[in-house]
Amino acid sequence: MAKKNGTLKKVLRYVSRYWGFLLVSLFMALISVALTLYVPILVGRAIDCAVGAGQVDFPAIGKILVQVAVAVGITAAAQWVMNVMNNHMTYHVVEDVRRRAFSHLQKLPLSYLDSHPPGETVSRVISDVDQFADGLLLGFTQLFTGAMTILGTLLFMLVISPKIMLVVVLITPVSLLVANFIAKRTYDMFALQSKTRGEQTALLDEVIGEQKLVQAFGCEERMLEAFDEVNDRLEKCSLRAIFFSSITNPATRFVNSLVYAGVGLVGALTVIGGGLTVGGLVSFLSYANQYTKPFNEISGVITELQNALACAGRVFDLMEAEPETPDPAPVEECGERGSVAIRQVAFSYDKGKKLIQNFNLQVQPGQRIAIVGPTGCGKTTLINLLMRFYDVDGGSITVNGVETRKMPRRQLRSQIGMVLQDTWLKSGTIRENIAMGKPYATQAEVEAAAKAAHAHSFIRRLPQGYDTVIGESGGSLSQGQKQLLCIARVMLCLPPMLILDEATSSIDTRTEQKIQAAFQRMMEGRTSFIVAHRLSTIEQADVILVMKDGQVIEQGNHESLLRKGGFYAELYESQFVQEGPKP
Amino acid sequence: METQNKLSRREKTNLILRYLRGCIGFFTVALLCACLGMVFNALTPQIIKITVDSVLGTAETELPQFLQRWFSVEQLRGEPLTALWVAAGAVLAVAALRGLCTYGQRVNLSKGSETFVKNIRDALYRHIQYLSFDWHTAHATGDIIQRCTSDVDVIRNFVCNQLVEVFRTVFLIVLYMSIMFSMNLKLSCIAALFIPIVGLSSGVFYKKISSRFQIADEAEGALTTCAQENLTGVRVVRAFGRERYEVDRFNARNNRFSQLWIKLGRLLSVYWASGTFLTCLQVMTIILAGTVETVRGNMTLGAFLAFITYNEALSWPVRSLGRVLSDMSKAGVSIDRVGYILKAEEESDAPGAEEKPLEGDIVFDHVTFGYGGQPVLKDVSFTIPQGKTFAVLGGTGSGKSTMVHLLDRLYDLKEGEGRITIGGTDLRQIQRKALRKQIGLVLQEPFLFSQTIQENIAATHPDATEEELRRMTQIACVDEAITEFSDGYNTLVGERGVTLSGGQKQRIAIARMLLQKAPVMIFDDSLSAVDAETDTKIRAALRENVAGATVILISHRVTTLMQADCILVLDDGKVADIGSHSELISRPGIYRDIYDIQMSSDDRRLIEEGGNG
Repeated sequence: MAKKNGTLKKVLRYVSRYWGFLLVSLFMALISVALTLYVPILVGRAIDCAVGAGQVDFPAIGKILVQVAVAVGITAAAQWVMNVMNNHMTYHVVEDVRRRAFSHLQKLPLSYLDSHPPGETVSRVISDVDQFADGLLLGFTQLFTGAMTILGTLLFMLVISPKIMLVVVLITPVSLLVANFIAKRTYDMFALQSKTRGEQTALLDEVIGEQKLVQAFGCEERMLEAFDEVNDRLEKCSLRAIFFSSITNPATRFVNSLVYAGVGLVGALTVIGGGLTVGGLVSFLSYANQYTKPFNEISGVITELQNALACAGRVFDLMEAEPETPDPAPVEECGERGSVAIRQVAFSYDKGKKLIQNFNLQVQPGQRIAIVGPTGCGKTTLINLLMRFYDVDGGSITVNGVETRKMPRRQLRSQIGMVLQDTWLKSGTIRENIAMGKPYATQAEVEAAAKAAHAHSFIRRLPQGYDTVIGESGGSLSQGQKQLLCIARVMLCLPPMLILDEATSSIDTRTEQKIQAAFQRMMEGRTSFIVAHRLSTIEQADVILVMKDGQVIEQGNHESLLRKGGFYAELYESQFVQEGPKP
Repeated sequence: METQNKLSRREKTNLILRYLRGCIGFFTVALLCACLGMVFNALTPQIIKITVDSVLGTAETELPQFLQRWFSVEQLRGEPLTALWVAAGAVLAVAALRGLCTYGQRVNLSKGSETFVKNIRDALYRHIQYLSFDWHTAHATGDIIQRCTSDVDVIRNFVCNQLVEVFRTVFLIVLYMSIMFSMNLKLSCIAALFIPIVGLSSGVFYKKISSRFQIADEAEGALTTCAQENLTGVRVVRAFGRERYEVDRFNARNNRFSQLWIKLGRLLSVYWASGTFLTCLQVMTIILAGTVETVRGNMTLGAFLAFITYNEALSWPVRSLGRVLSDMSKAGVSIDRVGYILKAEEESDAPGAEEKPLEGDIVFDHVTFGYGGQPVLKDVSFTIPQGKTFAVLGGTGSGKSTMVHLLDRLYDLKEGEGRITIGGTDLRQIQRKALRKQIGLVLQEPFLFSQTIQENIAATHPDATEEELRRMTQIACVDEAITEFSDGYNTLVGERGVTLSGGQKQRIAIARMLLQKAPVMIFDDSLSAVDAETDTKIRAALRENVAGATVILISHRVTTLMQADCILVLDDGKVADIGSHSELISRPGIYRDIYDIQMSSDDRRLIEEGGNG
């Protein structure tokens, strides 16, 4: 509950930036409710003018009708203004929340992002905010006007006849109870239903997406069974949800009729007793009707609002996740460009599970460091630490003579060019993708970088050359071509240090040759860390880091490691000698 | 996909009628309940009318026939209290009956609509399972799924909500208008005048606004893509220090999205306000005219009150009718989209196709094949000897994967495109199911279903024993990795479970294929994500365990290829060369070029040493 209130407070903080809109909206709601409630009084009066005696006061009726028309006109205008204000406010708040959330995403540490699947985070920024907006809008428009209508009708009824009002008020709890009882059960059932529906869609997604596999394995029937099973479950829980949701409307309407009949009965008796005019009764009946309506809606609105608050809570959770430690001011680099010193570094992803301990490494400018080890040995961990995607738990990493934690991340990262195996291209033109690290590069510069990366020739053959728009995650480009683009991207910036990831995935030999040539060219005179798979790369390295189970277990050059006869020697024997080299 | 042959109106109707089977009953009951409910609804004003006129009024009035049996007007006027109690009781009774009808309507409608949707979904899903792979490649997955989900929902909405709503509204208008006309002709004419105006204006408005809704939806799509991209590429974004730029890009889209909705909201509020105004105007006019009529004595006070109630009850349904009608046009498109799938032809076996064991050599006999007129394989002929290891080398687009697809009959050769035979039998004469059961396939990008690892491996062989399963995972060198997961073989894979590395997925896929125990096995570059050490181990284990099976290896690695009995070199859809490693290495050609590129002299020395030692 405390958390809910906290969320509400935060929501209100966002809303309060638009307090001008809010005030106008509230004022308009007040006007529209007041006038809507005033109209039945006018109508009642008009009726009284007609039935009072056998004679009719036409001028009086005319006057009243003009008043009614004006009141209706103003009500419509007020509602219009109110809706516009609410809409403005809601979507500005949505924009603000999204903007903040996205900026915050840029500051979140990788440890957070790695442990939350992207799909989930995206849905917090997009669909959760959407639902929150829906709830907010509904809350503004219905909850407020609803509450005012209830108060207003009570007030008016009190003025017309306190006795009848009492009848109405006494029946109210029944209405609330019924609505509440049903809404709660319906909600549970609908939640189950939408969960099952989600399951069904996921299954559909998978089976249709991987039809090739399904057909190749001939498991069509088993997939049909799985689908039938989910479908049956969906049908069952849908039917249960239907039962409750079908009861809602008749039940609440019956309660309304109860109020209506009660008012009619007491009202008519009062009229006969002379305590009320017929017109008064008509107005009263209309109030009784308007009074019950918001009750029916409010239970729905409250469920919706709770959902909106839950969604807002998720968004705020994201926005309040601990950001990266703040960056220090830019510093003067004192050491040699391209030197790296790693001293007694300790690191682990999970505090309970020690990973890297007491890791030391001294790298001179221009040296090549090969990282080798079996699948899953933790090569990416080293990249994470060097780029300061993660902070070390103990010890220090010094680059260009400055401890990495003492310089802004940007400064550090601009020193290091990175080409990973899982290439990432964003939707946009080829040029934009190459110029990522240097947005204002000239065409000549971009082309030179592409040429150096051996990418120019294939780019030229594309329909719009450098202006070809590539889709999400590279679209129609082959894996090898994507890698060449990523190399061109680094070539354009030419940082003094490199992190390269040699491809293991299947790229045809000619393209791979190009990539190798580009790598070689890039590495000239630069300190390079290479996740290596090729024997030649490993042999040429100045230092080889041998990793196993997340730890650096050996380091040295090829000869010294072979002489040592440890894990590297073993690896070398099994990998390259018996079976021949790995390309 | 956009080469849609649109369905004719009759076909559309037939399509819907076909899936309405089994739920017509529900819909009929629902509609009956709806009508009854409206009739009960119409009774309340009548009760009030009679009560007002007989109890409160002074004018001459007559009770309806059936009431005269119990009461007379004089009697009622004499005992107003009793009369009022009776009236209140009647109102409640009618309300209760109406409630019952509404309940009946909703329950039946929902049951009908669930059954209807289930019918369509089942049919679609079943149909899609048996559509040719050819068809699947020609259509984007996202699009097919959308047709199965949102388009089906649109159709459901059309049949179960919109059609029913239109029926209800029309019935309501007819019922109320006829009651109103029987009460007062002049007033009814005025009331009726407003119906087309209100209905039409809302219809036109909604038609106009629907395109804007679509634009807003697309803007949201762009927003999602932007966020998704940023997250998947977070390392690159940060490595290049592009956070600021990404934020700007997102904000531009964010702003566009909000502005679109604000504009939409503005339009909607104008519509709502003007609609309210119109309705109020109508109600006022009726009240004014009604008062005049009552005063002139053409109408009793009770009748006047009842008339106003009827009139007000009409205004909302008429407004929504316009919206519903304009929405209904969307359903036509959805029916087309769903019908398109249902009309696609299912895969079927040739008449007389056999279910025979695969034995003998596989022969590609002058095979020419391509997609969309662009040939990929050009007059290819070669033989894969039974029980041997056959390797294929070729660059991107050389036709390797197409070869695999043809062999597994994911695509079929047509007349004049040559033929593929196994042991002399044309592939097309073998039942697809039987064929695929006997060909084990591991794809380059393996896919695992979101089930447990155990279920994934046993996909081809659901009743495999635990030992068998583990033996296969041991051959694929993945047993150890699996047992390290907290739930072992019962670990869930995919979004809701653990994320496996590319290498782990490939190895599990290999185990899955091995369990199939197929006489023909195809590895389509399926060890690419496994490190060299593991690769070696797996291949050694395979050699020991699958003796007798025909193995087809597709790879870029010469070290993998060179162990095959026979190597086929594909280049640009043609057979460039074929022979054993030593044969191919002895003559100039693509194979030797690649061998030279991949193996430095040092490497070769190592192999020789290794081979000797």
